[in-house]
Amino acid sequence: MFWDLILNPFVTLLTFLYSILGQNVVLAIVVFTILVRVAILPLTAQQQRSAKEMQKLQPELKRLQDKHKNDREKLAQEQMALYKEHGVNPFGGCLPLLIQFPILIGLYQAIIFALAATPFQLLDLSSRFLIPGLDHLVPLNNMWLGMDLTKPPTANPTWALALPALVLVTTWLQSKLTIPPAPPSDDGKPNQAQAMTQSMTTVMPLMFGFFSLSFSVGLSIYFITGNIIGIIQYSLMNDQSTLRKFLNRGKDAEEAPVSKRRYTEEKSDDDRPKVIEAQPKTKVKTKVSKTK
Amino acid sequence: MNIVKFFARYPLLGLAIFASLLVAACYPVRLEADWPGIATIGDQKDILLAYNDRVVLINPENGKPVELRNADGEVRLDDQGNARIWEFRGEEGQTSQFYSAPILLNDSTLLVPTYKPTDNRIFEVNLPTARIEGSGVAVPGHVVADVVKNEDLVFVGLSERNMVAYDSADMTERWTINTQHGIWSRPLIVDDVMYFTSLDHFLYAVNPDSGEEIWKLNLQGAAPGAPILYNDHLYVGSFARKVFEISLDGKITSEFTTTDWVWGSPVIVDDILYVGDMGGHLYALNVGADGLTERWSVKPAERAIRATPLVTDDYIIVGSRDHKLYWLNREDGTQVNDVEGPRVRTLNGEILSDLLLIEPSEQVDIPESYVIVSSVANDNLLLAFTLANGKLVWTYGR
Repeated sequence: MFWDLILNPFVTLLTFLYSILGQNVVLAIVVFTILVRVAILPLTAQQQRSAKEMQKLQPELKRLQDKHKNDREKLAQEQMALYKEHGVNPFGGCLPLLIQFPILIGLYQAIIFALAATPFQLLDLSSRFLIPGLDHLVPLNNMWLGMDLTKPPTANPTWALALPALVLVTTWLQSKLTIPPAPPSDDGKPNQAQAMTQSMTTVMPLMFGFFSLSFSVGLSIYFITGNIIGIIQYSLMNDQSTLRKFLNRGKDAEEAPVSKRRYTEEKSDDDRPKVIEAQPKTKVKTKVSKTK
Repeated sequence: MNIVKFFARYPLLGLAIFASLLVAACYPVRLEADWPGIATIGDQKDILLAYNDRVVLINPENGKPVELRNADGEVRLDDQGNARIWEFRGEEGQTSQFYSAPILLNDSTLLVPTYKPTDNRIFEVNLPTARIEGSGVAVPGHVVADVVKNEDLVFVGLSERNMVAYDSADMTERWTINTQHGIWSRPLIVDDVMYFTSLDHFLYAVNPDSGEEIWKLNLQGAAPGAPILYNDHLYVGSFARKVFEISLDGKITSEFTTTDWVWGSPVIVDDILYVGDMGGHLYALNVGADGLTERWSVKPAERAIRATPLVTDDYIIVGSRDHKLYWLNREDGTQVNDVEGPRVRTLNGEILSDLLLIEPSEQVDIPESYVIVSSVANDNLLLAFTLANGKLVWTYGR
């Protein structure tokens, strides 16, 4: 069973943390989420690096698309040459993401199993412990601040509704920070990529907020912790203050005329000039002149 | 068009697919909370099956739903001329689920607790018509444990926590006992004392009239199975991998260590206690002055034996999560072998509910004793096998 390979160690770890953290299940979930996210940090870092590199190449890719819009084969060849020239793997971000996905889902499922709200869930928990001596902790104490962690916020006291709101806010903040803004088209109108980015940053928080209304409160805590860790991770992995970058991004977007936004954003981003400098100047100039 | 371009062109569709994947991946694997609750009612031993969205009454003679009849004994027909069957599905438009086996409140009324996301109720259902009487009584939680009543009170263990007693005359709440975790098994009432277990690790003894606690005993692990009484002692297992013998004043007088968690209630016949564990083991323990001592133990099943074993004169019959029903010799726990091989029957779903034995009588027109077994597979919800040779007699499914 593939999932058991992920779930059983996670359930064991979560229950072990519960035992050493004063049988506080919320603390166990928070520490558990932090530990797993730290463990997959190299993957996250690689994914973010890959995303950044791809982002830096976007102006060049756009130019190539414009230049070879009627010759798909040539476009593909040029794109591959560009990737090769800059040592970028266009799928470099996919593998870490693919590896992370089952881990994050396993983390999520481990919380559901460990809380064991129903007889079936407790039954499924019965064979998951990999180290002896955890039996006496089952089932974990699922009450926290008057809330039953196995139930959705709507079946808990009113203040539990603050959790979906926090999920929404932290998801929005995280996606706003980590999803790179796509440049608009030359004519200043939003392009498809930009539309998708806007959709992601708007719909994803709403989606997760909505999920949190129907999922258990324990999972909301996981979502919030994961989002906060994601924000911190992103801040630490970037060379400027996350908050400042976030504020500058909004300010730049407001101040710049629509037709000049792309230019302004490129100039305001510390990374982009460095990349352009790192590229062989002659080739870049050639390509730009050809495009014009 | 590659996938990136596709999602760039249809961002909302991409998000919808992503959301669907997330929900599919994150949603608990099982939609059910519990397994079927089964019980027999009346002299005719009709079988009440409570599972998922309905409660249905099954005729043990043929495995078909009982037909509703009018005062003259004629079968009632619906608009299309089909026989109306005894089936109860909760309120219209509600996503009620049923796991607790209903009990008779009086000769003509059944009590049926629900398991819904919110607004759980105990309905009074008219037995002759299978219709709800009134709007039911709200209960502060889900019910998976079988409900029990005495002369005056109805006792309802809630799956989250607490035991609540209701006046059987008007279903008003009389008292609540607070527990730290859920109650998933039926209480036992003996000589004006009610005993029940909780997942909070304790066995409680309380006065059923007042709800006053007499004593409580730590069972060292969660206890989802009901206690039984035998020769002035209580017997119960727990997740501490133990079976306990307990005096009626709340002291452990003997204990036996099992290989895995003990979930189901034990059964005692002729001074021998039989109990299964979650590792698929079955134990026969001597019950006597020396406490609990092992007579034999076997491992017939690959997966958990959750339900209480069914003990007859010659056999012990156990169901397992491995979908199999095993006939074992009562003397030594070895498998019963027929000419064609071991008497093991494979069902389509996990066997988690307790087994029933229905014997021939003046009221029940069956030629020999039937073993009634329930699985969680919708096409194998209830099956009857002959006790003597394990022959399948009938199957009820949806």
